[in-house]
Amino acid sequence: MKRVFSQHTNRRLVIINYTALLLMNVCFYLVTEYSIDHHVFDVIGLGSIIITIITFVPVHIRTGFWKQVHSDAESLDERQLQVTHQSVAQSYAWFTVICLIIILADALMARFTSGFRFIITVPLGGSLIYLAHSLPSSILAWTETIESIPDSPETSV
Amino acid sequence: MKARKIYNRISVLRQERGISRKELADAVGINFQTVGYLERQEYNPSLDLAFRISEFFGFSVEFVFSVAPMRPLSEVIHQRNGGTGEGNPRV
Repeated sequence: MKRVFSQHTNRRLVIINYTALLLMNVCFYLVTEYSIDHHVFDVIGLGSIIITIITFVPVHIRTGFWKQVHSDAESLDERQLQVTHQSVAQSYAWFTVICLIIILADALMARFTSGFRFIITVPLGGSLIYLAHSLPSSILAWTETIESIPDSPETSV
Repeated sequence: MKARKIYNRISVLRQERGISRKELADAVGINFQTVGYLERQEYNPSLDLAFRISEFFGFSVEFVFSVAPMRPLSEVIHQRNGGTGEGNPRV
């Protein structure tokens, strides 16, 4: 039987996944912009990348949600089409809000903090691309009830 | 517009036939997770899917699906037999 986590566990993993991503960006920004020569930030940054990858597998791959949101419409059934459409619409709204928050935060920091210089770093660009691709799948992991592939007819109702 | 809840007997019929959710899903061309949603009555099927499931079990759509809560099959059979207690051991 293909082992998948419960919806509750998946929600936790989604939070850990994005928190690690945010932490990685903060560490990278501090190290490159403020030239902080402290190995703690390197370790936290690298650790965050590893945590992001580790939590990605059970949430997106094992549940099949990544494949579902990136599949052709013909290969999905009517309920999958419906929930995929909803998750893509929601993730579009979330992604727009997140981008606007980043732009607003940049404008406010530049206005009120002297010497602040905001740049779109490679990790930030990569993180935004990852976010755009993984948000629909994360929303499905957040909202969907997940079941393992049944072996017998006496599957729990 | 909020859709009405559609009740069904899929779970009972499936277990009675001894088939898994995966087998039923493959037979009617849907994902096995969708069968779970249908059985828990968390998803209302389209008319086409309702017909496909009913045809698979060999019953009419109104026997498998209903807008009112389903009565237990034992109760339906008992009433059809005139409520005579047929099937009970005779004293």
